[in-house]
Amino acid sequence: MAAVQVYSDAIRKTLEATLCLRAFPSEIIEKQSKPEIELNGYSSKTRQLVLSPIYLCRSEKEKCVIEPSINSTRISFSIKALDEVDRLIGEKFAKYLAVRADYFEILRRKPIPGYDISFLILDSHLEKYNVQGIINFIIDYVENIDKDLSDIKLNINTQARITAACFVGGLANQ
Amino acid sequence: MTESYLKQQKLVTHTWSPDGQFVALSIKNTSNADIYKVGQLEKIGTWQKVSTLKDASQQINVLSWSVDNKILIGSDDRSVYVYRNINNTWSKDLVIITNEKAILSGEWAPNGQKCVVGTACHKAFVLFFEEKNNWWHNQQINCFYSSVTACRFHPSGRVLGLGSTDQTFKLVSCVIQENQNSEDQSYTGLFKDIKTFGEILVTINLNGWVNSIDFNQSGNKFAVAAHTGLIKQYSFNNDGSLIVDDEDKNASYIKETKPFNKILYLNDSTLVGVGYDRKPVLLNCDPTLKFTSIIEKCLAAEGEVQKSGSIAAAKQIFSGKGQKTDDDKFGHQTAINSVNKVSDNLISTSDVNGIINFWRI
Repeated sequence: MAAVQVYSDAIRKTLEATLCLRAFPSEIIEKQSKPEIELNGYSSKTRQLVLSPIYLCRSEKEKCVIEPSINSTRISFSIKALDEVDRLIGEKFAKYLAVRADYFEILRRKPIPGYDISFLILDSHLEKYNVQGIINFIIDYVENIDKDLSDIKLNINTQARITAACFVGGLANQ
Repeated sequence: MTESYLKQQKLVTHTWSPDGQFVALSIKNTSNADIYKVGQLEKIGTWQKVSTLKDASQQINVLSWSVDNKILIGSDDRSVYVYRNINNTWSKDLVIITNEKAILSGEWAPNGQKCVVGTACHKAFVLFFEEKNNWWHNQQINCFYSSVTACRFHPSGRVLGLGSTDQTFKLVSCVIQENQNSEDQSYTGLFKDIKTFGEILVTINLNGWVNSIDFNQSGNKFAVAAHTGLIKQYSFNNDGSLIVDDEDKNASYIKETKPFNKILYLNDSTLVGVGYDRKPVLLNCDPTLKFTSIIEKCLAAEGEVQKSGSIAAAKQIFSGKGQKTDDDKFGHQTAINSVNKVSDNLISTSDVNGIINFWRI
């Protein structure tokens, strides 16, 4: 629990610094405003508007990358997967959230390569919602994801055990 | 009525007329600039709308009111407008400007005869009026590698400070040779002998995007606010050269605060910074920059505390209802975007949610 707290505190402090966003019109396309973090690499002209990414690793498999820019910040998480079942659960969980990305607004529909889930926060989100509220939402996700996934895994194991017991019981009665 | 209208339509920036009787507001949702006659200062409900400037088609980022009653407007749709007040009607002047992207920053010169705009096409333009053609023509300053996000005239009007997202600040000369009327001939302080245009006098590399610049009234100091949360103050010698401070004695880095969006010299010894911390920060800047205090309560909060009295406050305590803090009720809920000096001991701040607060210094 203490390890999660240290990890989530580090993410919180980084987010408080990187979520200082402002409305910024595009330097490439006139009369439009695009999230600069998504356009990173598209043109060398806008290189100065994107800052270096910050990597926070709790372990080799559980890590987070925060990519700030002048008008948007992208936060990506990699879920810990110790075996195939964990990997499958993590994938299904992330897909479930990604399909419902419209409801979450700050969720990116497709995570960036190498990570399981990505959030994209724009300056317009910070005008609508409280910054602390958004940070608390992300920290809650970080702190509870382990518990949620282990609950799902326990559930699967319990169901598998009951199913197996019923099947073997049926065979024995024959 | 005005208060709820502003909260619904959202605010980008605001500026005061020289006499303090009128205020111009840039409305985010309608892309208009509304001009209000001010009734009671902190009671926004008493303000009356007198005019609307509707020519911009996108968000107005630059709104500046000159000393001789002209308004400069710069918009995300890359247009620049200059309005004059003729018989209580605002009429538009023709502006010739060759920018390709949005206008991000802008300001009038102290004498109101020329202005500067910073753009997202990595250039700054100085606009001056040509009498024979009856239009505002421009000269461009092209020395940055990224958007020009901050610009400010030196009190002489002959030099201006420009800041950019390429993390540099540059002090550039801006004397318009074609139009000698645009310079203040009576000025006798620093830089009075500058006669060139576009000459870079000082370049300073900062470790962050430049958010704001300001010069003090006497023109011998200036401060630069970067997105790292740093404010640095620099001083000039009598010959106009910069005093180089290798040990960073003049820098003020306030560790617990977030970046400042705007800074403003109230007088030669006081600097105020506003930004993501949602409250104005006061700094003493004579002789070196030092943090003084955070202004906790705005004018509306002070007034409300006086009005509620002991009976109302006691009722609230004993009824078991939690008392709303001043931050919830009166302060800014999002980052402060704009700050202006209303009088010697009063400043006004505004945020994107349409809240305008007044703070007593």
